[in-house]
Amino acid sequence: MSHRTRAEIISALRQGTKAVAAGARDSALPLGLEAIDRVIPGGGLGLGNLHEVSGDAATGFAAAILGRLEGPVLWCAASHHGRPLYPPGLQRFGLDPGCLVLARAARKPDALWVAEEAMKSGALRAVVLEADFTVPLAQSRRLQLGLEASRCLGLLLYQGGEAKITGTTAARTRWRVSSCPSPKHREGPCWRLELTRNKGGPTGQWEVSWHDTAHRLTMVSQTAGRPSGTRDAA
Amino acid sequence: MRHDWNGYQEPLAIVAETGNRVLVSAVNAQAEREGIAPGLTLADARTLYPGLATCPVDAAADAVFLNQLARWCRRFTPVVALAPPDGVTLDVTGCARLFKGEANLMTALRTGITALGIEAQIALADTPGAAWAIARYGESGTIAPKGKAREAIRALPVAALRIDADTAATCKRLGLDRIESLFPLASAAIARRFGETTLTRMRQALGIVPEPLDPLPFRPPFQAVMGFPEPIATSNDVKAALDLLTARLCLRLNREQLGCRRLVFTISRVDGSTQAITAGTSRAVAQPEHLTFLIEEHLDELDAGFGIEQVQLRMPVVEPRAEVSLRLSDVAEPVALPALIDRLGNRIGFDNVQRFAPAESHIPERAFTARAAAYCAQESQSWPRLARPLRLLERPQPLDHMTPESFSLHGRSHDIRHRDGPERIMPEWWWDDPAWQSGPRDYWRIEDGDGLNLWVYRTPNTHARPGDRWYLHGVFA
Repeated sequence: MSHRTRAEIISALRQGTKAVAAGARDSALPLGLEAIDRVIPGGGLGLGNLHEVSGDAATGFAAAILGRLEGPVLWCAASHHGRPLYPPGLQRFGLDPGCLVLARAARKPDALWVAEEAMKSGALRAVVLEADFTVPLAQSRRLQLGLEASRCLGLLLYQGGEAKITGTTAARTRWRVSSCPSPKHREGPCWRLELTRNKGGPTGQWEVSWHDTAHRLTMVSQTAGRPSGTRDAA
Repeated sequence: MRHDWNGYQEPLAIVAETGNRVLVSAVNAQAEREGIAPGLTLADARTLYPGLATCPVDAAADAVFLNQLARWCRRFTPVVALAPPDGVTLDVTGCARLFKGEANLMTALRTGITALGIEAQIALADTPGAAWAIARYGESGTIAPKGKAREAIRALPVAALRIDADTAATCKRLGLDRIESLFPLASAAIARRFGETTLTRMRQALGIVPEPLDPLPFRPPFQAVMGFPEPIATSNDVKAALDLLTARLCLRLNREQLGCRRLVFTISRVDGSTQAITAGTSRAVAQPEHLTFLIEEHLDELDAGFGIEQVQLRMPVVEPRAEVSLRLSDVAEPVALPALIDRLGNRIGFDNVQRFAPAESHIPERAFTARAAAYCAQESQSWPRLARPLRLLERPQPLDHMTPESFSLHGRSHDIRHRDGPERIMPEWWWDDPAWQSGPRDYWRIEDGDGLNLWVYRTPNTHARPGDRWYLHGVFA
């Protein structure tokens, strides 16, 4: 075996490791903001993982995340408190309402069952469970296991209601999204993103704005809350 | 064949409208005694018996009935063909010995048909044509001996050859009123004078020219049963049995290019009781995994009791499979999604799993349609690019103290930092919508001091009323 072939083998191995790294990147959905993606292990919201979103602008943030994915999305609505999802409004977040399948499950066991079945089916790119009750730890673990098998993105959307969202969960990240006043020349809503749980990474706080026509997030200010560097104990 | 019209004891005629005449198409025995025969006009029939009851003909129902009768006749032979509008042809070749002779077969047939309440003319002959002729123009119950078709139909009128009325009338006018009078004529002469059909019909009746029957397709029901020598009780065993039965039926579905729409899984317990699980699919399905999927999740609901001795899988509704051809522009939809939608639909209701499509309306509530996802595929349609909220309130909430700088909602005051608008939306006059009776609306997108984006509207035409009426209709984020 000559030196040359050995070099070739090494370079081939290097290519291989690159491919593995690229694969790892494909398994995450970046938000498109360097400052945030850097903080989350994997470089973005992990596909095949569960993520929790709450706050008054949670729906918008969830729609913005789903808009970055290609493929069918199931939205399981357990309750909407008289404010149902309005499909024409999804367009502003780059999500084609035609890709959406909405499942209305009024009863809590039905909603959890629908979410679990959808998450483990492998037929969807993303599944949203819109709930006004706290998903118990055991249940969230079941959802997470289903997602791992199917590599689809799971979102737990706590909108309205008095869901307690401080308990332990199997979700990889937990976001609190609230509206914040936008600058004068605005192109869309402004949100304060609080990453209150980030498994394997630091938490943080950012102010971002959504561009309604360009369909992307832009950083407004990072000064409002730098990544605190403290790890979530949970 | 005459249907005993629910035991009606007075003269009754079934009438059909032909052109501008009303003709009698069938009569019961009582009417026949009064001299009323099919083919008379209703006026003539009424002259013969003024109190004649009539009933309009229902050709579709007759056809359905004839089909049912033909299926019933399958007990005598697998080859049963329709002879519309009023006959059924049975090919009993080789079947007579099962009934110990042709005479016994005929008796069984007549007894069965009489028990159904049908008065039927039955004849057995070598060829369908000869049997047809004897049944209609000869004596009912006749069995023409083997090879004697010629003798059996010799004395019957020419019309018994299944030729049209005009040709039969011509024959009669020429003095050829019996079939035997055609026998001495040369074939070419018959064909020339009375048409090729007459010649063919005669030859078919005599068995010179073959006449293949077009039997009803025989499709056994989609059903599979499995019995156990020892009762089973565990869900794993039931699952294994279900898999086997599904695989067996799906094999047949695939062979016949069919798909299942409804399936019933029944267990029979040792104590003689049965339990069933029913599931439906949104489209014709022939994948065993998809079908077992739907039944499987209800297996826990079954109570095996002291054991299950038999399981049965039935597909009461099967349909031809619509193979979807993909166009290049279509989004390739994963095959697993319809299966998932079926599963969800079976549990939470098919109406609760929806897809959306844009609708041509400016009224926000009607700008889209929600359809059951099970019955429509993913379509790439263009949605109008409008500034629309993410959530629309089911019932708009009134806003108080609206000024250009602030408003209050639920008693809480909010500042207004930005406002975009107005966008005027007119009610659709062709649609009487109570919510839009207050006239056109001016929609604004406003942002309050906390950054909350709201979709609010004002009804300018009701401006004269005390207080400026503003409403919250949607939330943007």
